[in-house]
Amino acid sequence: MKVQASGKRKSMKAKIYPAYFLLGAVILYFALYLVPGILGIYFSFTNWNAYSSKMHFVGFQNFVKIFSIGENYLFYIKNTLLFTAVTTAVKTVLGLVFALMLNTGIAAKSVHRSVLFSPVILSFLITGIVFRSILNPATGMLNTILRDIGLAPLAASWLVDPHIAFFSVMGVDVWKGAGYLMVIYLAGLQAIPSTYYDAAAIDGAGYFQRLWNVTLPLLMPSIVVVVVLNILYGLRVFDIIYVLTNGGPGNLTEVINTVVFEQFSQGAYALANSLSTLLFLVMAAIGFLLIRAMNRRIVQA
Amino acid sequence: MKRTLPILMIVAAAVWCGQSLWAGGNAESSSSSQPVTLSVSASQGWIDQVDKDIAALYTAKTGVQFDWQILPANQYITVLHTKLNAGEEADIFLDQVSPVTLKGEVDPAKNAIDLSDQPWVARVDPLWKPAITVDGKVYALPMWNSGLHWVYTYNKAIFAKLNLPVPTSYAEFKSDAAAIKASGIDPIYEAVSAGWHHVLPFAEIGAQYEKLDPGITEKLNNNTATFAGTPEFLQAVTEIQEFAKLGYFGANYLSNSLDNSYQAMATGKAAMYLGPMGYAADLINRYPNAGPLDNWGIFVEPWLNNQYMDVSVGGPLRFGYIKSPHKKQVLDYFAFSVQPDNLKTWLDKNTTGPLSVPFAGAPANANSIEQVALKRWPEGGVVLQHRVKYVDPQWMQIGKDLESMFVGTMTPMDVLKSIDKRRAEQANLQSDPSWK
Repeated sequence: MKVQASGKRKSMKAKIYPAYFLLGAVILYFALYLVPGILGIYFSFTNWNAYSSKMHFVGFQNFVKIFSIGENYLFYIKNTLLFTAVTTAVKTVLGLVFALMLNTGIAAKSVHRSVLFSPVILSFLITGIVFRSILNPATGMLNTILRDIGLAPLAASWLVDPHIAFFSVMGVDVWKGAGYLMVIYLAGLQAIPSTYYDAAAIDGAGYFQRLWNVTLPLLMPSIVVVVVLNILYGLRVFDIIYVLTNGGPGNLTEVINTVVFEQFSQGAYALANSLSTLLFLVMAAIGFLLIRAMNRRIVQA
Repeated sequence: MKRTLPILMIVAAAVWCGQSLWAGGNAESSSSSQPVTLSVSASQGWIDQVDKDIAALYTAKTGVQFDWQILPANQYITVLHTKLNAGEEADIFLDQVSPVTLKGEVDPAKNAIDLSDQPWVARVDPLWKPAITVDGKVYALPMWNSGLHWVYTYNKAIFAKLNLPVPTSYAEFKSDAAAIKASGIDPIYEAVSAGWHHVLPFAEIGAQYEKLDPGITEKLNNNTATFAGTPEFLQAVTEIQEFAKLGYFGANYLSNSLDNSYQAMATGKAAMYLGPMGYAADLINRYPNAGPLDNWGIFVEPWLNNQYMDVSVGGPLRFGYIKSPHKKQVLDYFAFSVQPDNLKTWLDKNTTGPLSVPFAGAPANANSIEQVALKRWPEGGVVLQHRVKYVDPQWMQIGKDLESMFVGTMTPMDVLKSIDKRRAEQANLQSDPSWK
């Protein structure tokens, strides 16, 4: 018996690929991700800029500037967090609602799923062009429809009104992203065995009881993935704002990455790197804490 | 052997890749009989079809091919700076420069071919020499419209119907706009969403600022004056804000697109548009029903009672990249493109309608209404961004500040303070001794 087990272990070991097969991936990861990342953090402590060939270590000077009262950076950080919170919450809930609706018991569900998923495959550039047209206050489709159905007072300057521009951007982002989350949820829902629902039904559980006590706990791994992906996406957001408002009106919809881009184009490379470093640290911390907390809940569930 | 074989394969692949790259990098030197291709990098809108036509003539003559690398306008400068810093720019690159931005923007001694000994340099308009010269050396080919005047093109029929005079002061401008608005027409077509156009009223009256506050240019460049501390700048920004508040830029000026100006002007929805001197001809070209040319008139920007025709002494000029392996061809192509017959072709066929190029003997191209305007308003001086340091590089940020002012989150004074702040930052980045 012992000899048999030893032989089995040996054959299993022989089937595992040798460690040096990782070399290619490790080299690429190190050269294309780690080195630029570490260099970026280093540059954030310098005065690197486009106008001088000399670079000096300046300590935390760039970070002090970012957190200075007279600067706007705190406002951009606040915008980034607001965007992340709102879009994550709305997309997570909306994606789940779509998935629940299109999981079972609906005719032509593939068509419905395709329709809801289709915004995901559009590029941000196309999305931006389309929605700039739809949301144009004078000629846009949205205001035209509102006026035609007698809701003219609701017609607005969606992308230039300082009170609603940021929410319009969030709305477009939700429209574009909710379908993707729906697909993740659908995969999770279909992995839940129907026997649990049958058992719950026999016990007399209604739809919401089954949702609360069966679906959501078993869907928690998908929810963790969705929330983490959304938070990280929200903190890194750039494209949708760049193509819709370019940070305007004025600076009201600027977020960290649009400012990084702006600083970079102004030649203030070190400051741009400092903002990126800050974003990286926040993302790493949030991602780590979130996965840890949610994993604990999954285990408990 | 089982372990060493894959490693050997990886090493061999790396060596092969390295050799290939090395061979690629030295393709020019190793095979001089290969046809030469000159790469040209530019922002969208900086290379006209006529530039490609002239390059095609050069190709027919010499066999030298061209690779046009055109990038979107809002990305080009960032990419250009990055590539220059990385040491891998195209053989010829274009950059937006002026006398006060050339050194900081391009760092020509480090990045551009010295063109000082080229025969055509002697023919360059003396007014344009500072825009292409650093420390006595010429670095740029000024193949650009030297008659770029930003003026208001107006619909004569609307003005005649409402019996309005051509404005010669801010007060007249304002009363004309009020009458036009009262008639149900947008007085001015403005497009803030473009990001840059609404900065023109502030910056294109450089001579007037100098007239009202003599020496202000020098004081700003020496850091002995600030925008926020100069009443004329505050007055100009306040006037622009007043027009926006009164609705004289139209109801949708924040979301209008620049391209729609042609339709708005051609259909009489708007009465005035701040465009380059050739705008009326361009408009008729796109909307033939808007013709004839005499339907349109031109007047200079009356902000701050300005009556000067300001002139630009800079623009997207051409540089030969210092590390180009084709320096000889670059110099030869530059000389070819500014031959008198090619300059005439460039002026005649350029779709942007330039008035002239800054070379001695180049023909002027003004049409009838432009000639009238040039006669009435002689050139008064250089635009603000080409005479005051650290204004041009923050053009888009000034645009954002003005937009903030339009939506009420900044005051005119905030806008000026913001300009001063960014100037100080740019000066510090460039170690400007006046800001020490």
